[in-house]
Amino acid sequence: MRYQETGEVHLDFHRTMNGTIKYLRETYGTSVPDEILRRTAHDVYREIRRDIMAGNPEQLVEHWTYFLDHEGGDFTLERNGAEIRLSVHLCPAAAYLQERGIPIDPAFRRQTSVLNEALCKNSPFEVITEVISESSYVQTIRKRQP
Amino acid sequence: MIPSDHFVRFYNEVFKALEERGHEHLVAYWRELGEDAGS
Repeated sequence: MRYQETGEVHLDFHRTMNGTIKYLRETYGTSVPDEILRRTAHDVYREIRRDIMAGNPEQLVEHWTYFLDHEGGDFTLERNGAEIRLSVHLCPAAAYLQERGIPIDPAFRRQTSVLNEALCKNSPFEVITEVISESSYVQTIRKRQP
Repeated sequence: MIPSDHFVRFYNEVFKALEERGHEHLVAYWRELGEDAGS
């Protein structure tokens, strides 16, 4: 799979990404970091989006679970027919920032929802992202309701 | 969550978006980064 890097993890990048998104939000407003996240979904994760558009969300599910595992996250994955529910009990990015007392920027917290919406836009699927706390959320991928 | 492994790819998108607004926007961001944007 294209997106499965296997080297050492560098969690400090979450700190820099949080700082960058904060700068973008404060300088240009929330729409700019959101737009960059949407472009990331479309361009960087092009193959994942291609599969979703073709009706196959499995590469997205692999992406979620591979990196949460790789970065030491705590999560459970449940399948109920065509519906796939990922409960993230501890998000590694949020946990890394919280452990260091770094405030999580509101636009940084939006990244999961914005990415998921962009990946599924105009596809047969939707991802419902429920934020439980700053470091936990549930994302459910399912066939779009008619 | 964008994995930390994909940091460089995300930054490529940031640089492109700022450059589209004008090179001075990119320079201003670099200055901010130099003062530790992550803290």
